[in-house]
Amino acid sequence: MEEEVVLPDGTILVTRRRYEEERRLVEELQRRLSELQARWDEAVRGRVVVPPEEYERERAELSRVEAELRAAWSEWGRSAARLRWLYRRRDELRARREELLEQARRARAEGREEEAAALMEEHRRLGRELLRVGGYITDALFAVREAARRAAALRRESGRLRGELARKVVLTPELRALRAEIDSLQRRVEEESERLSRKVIGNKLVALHKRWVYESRPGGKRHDLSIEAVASMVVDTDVPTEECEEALKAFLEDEMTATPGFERLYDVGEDVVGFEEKLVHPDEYPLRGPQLHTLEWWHRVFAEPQLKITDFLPRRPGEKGPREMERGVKRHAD
Amino acid sequence: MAELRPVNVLKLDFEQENPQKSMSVPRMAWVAKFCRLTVQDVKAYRTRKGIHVVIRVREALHPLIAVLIQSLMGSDYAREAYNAVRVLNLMSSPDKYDEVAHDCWNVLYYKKLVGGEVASEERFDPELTEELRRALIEEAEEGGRP
Repeated sequence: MEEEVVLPDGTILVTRRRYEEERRLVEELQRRLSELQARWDEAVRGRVVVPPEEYERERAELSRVEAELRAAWSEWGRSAARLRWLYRRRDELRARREELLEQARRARAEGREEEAAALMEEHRRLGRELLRVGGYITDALFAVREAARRAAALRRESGRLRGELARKVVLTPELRALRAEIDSLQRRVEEESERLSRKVIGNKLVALHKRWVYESRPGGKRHDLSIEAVASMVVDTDVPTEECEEALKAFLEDEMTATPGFERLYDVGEDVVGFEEKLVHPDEYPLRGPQLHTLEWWHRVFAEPQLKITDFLPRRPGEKGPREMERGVKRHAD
Repeated sequence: MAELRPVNVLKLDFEQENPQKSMSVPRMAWVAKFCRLTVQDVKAYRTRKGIHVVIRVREALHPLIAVLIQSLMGSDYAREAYNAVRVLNLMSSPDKYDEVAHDCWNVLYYKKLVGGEVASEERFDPELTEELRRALIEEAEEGGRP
């Protein structure tokens, strides 16, 4: 017997054993999927997975910004050092000018006019240099502030890029394979679950066909006539078929011997017994014991009025079938 | 049970020792193509003297058409004669027969006893199944009309 039968409406009849196997398979697939998903979550940890090219591009951008930041800090350092030197130079010049003024005042008081004039000349020169240094300090202050501003902007940009990069994880071949396996498994679980949802545990119909062939003389002629008996039972698919075979054989034997006139069949013809089994829908075939269905002279059909070709043609909705149309019309007598 | 149930399974029986009942794969494939059947599944079983073939098609066939196609495909003529008479009986007086008779007219025994002894028992044949699958499914998908 087939383990699985697809009905025209899409329902899939299966044996109980096959259904349990499929259910376990789906559970196993779902368990495996959960494991893989956990591995993926562990590897990703809420980060965004990006292809290696994108990751490398962003990392290169971060390196460039960090290099610029280092250059900006160096520039700031140089500007600050120059500013400090200028401040020192300004203080030195101021101190020297005060010293020269004092010396000149002393030289003038002592009558050394030439020396005093030379000292004052030097004092004035240093005054001019002091003015120049003041201008340099203004420029240096601007340069320091500019370098600091630029460095701060680059530091913010670097921090942003570093944060973004930290939220990303590169799609390595291992991760790519893991993702592909998860996707494939996901699809399979969905397909299997969908198939499982269409599956119905069927019952097993076991039928015994018994045929006799004998000769009769209707109308004074000899004919080969065939008689067929069919007994069947519906059992759970787990029930061994051999048990049903024995039960059906015993049942049919009892039925035959209890039927008047059939005892003569044992004296004629060939005794052929065939077993057939099939999966059936449990709603149509609830579980039941042996039952006799057919006891028929199959040749009798030729004594009936024959069917017309219209019997096989499709009908329009609501149209009466040929049998219904012919209802009431007297048929030929047998 | 006034209406006959359409079927989507063809059951064929061959006897390899009898040239009039032996199986021909090209013949089956030709008939399947000619009748515009879409074969979805096929399985073959070996018996003591012959072969059982079960073909599942997408189309829903009238039982008598199924018998006709089985005959065209070369299934045992005696078996198909019995099947034809069974179906004609069901058609002429459908209400006289119960559901089992309506379901079991296309008889293919998995086990057959003659005089109480096991005369035949079917066994699944994977190689032959594969050959039939190629001829009836794969080549039909590739090829056109017969």
